Amino acid sequence: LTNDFLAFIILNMRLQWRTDLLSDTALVRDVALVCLADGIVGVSFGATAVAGGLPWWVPVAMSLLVFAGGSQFAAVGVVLAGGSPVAAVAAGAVLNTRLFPYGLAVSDVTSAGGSGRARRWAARLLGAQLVTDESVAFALRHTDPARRKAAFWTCGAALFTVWNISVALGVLAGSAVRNTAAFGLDATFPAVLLALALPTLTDGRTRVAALGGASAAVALTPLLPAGLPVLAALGGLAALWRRRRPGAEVPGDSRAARPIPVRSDR
Amino acid sequence: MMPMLAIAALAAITYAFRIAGPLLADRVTVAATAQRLFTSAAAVLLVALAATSALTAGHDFAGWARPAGVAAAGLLAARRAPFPVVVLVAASVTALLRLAGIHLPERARGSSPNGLVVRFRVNIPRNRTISGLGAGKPGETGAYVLDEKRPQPVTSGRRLGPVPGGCRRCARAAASGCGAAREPTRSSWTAGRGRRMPRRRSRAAAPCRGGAPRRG
Repeated sequence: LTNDFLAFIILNMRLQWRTDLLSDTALVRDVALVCLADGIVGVSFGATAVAGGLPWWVPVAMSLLVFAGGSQFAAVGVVLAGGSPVAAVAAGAVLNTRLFPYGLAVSDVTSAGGSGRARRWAARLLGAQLVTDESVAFALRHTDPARRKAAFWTCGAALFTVWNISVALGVLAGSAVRNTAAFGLDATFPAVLLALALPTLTDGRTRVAALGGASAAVALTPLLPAGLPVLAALGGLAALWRRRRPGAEVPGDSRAARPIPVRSDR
Repeated sequence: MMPMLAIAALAAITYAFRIAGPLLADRVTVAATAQRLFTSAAAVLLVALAATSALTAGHDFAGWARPAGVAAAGLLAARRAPFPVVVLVAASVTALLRLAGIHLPERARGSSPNGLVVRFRVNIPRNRTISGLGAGKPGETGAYVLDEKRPQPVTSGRRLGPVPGGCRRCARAAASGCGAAREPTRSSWTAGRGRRMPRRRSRAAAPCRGGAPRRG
């Protein structure tokens, strides 16, 4: 869900080392590892939100309804920095645009429900909510439709359960700790974001765009109302665009050639 | 404050992105460039958010302890350390530095949840001084950072946030333990983050110990 860093490593290792040895037990074990990692992120999300002064139901409701860790962190981060709800929603929505191509990639899996038309639609609507970095990555590891389906639904359902429970636990923990600064808990939030972002910075141009955007955001923080500097960082993408023009067809750019990236990018 | 409406809006947008894929799967293909743009936008946002939340609190620098912890965690993350290790290192490095005396700066503490600092605007009546804050000039409007022990003025004319509750009598932050009159007032009290204190707790809190300035 959020911890693509570990999920990504695990998936890659599995892909490299034991491509054809995957059994159901392997699936369950991998899903459990991903759930463990995401559970830690969920606890830290709940604790951060409550320690920052939000009511307990905000992280809980977000986790149930939004169920996309990166955007939840982003939205809450903007609000905790004093930003407006509109800026928070915008930041979260931008992070979630990638769910659209994900949905395209696993459309066969989510819509392949039971027999009747109604059941198929129910499965499609329910499955859409389970589209996350991890569940899509698990589904795309298999070519056999039945296995794709099993992987997607197992991972999605397990993640949904673990994520919501861990956020609730985090809310309890965050309410219990009074002086969060003394425990350094305020440093976990940026650390989580950084750990989520680093695996996606493989591309040199993206790195330039991210560094430029981040510098601009920090420089603008004393000047702009809270929440806007982060959105202004998207201006860093302009650098990316201009730089890409000359070499639009970059030879050997494997990521551009792949229609849907398996890797997660939160 | 994050209203339910914002959560609902984000949830609706997110679900729309999710369901659009399966619904349009037969008709749409996403170009590789658009795909890359999504990925890059997400990365740029995350890094920017990480940088601002590591370095700043409110509109000010957050002190060295937090960026140091985040940098240590970032190094580990870049070396593909397990996720729990990254989070634990961030928290413990920051906590140890704070233990060693590198605290959040007073200005930044106003935006920390349990900080004792409040920024507020003063309108000083004719040629009076405000005890505990030093002499003010008539009609001065500025921001002050209040600590329980050492109230001290900050730069004048700083931008101020929305008005939350504050103690009307003693100019202390609602978070500072002064329980008097925490209802949001129409006066110009502001706190770093504009967080409204729950009224319920204010009644049970300790009474105002006084000694701090009166508003004119």
